Amino acid sequence: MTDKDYEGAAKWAEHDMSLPENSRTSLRGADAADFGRELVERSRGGRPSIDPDAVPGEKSPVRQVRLPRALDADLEAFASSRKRKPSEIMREALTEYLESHREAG
Amino acid sequence: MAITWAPSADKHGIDHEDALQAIMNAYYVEREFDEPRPPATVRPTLFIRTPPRDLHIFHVMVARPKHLERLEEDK
Repeated sequence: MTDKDYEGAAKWAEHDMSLPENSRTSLRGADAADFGRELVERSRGGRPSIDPDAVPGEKSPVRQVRLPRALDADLEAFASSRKRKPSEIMREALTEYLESHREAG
Repeated sequence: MAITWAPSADKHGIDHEDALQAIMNAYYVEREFDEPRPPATVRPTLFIRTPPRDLHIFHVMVARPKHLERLEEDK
């Protein structure tokens, strides 16, 4: 691809491109933002730490958990339907569980 | 792994950091497009890989009203 090719693609995007109706490949809302964030982060050389308090270069703790097959399949299907990663769902679920049980005393 | 910019990406004078912020806070992402008309010869989906190791941005513009309307449709 040359600069001229990209110039042509830019003209197409500006004047002729139309977004498809009833698209099955579009992402919206949080899914769209997640996709865009990952796109930029990967291209910048890696994803930032999942821990906002981590110092640069610090690795996050890892815990391995064995799951019953049915629960694992359920997690995979749930994450896939939302175009998210199982690890994200597990972190969210654990956070919600701890918060709700902490409130309950 | 890098983010690079084609000269055509600067046509509208939008700051690179603003463009990246828009990508990272996208409301809508489309991964399939119709056939381009000349002078464009390549569909974006042919050179945008998922997940990419490099990101080459060839155009940045303010969203057109017709595109914003599409965001509200097909929900």
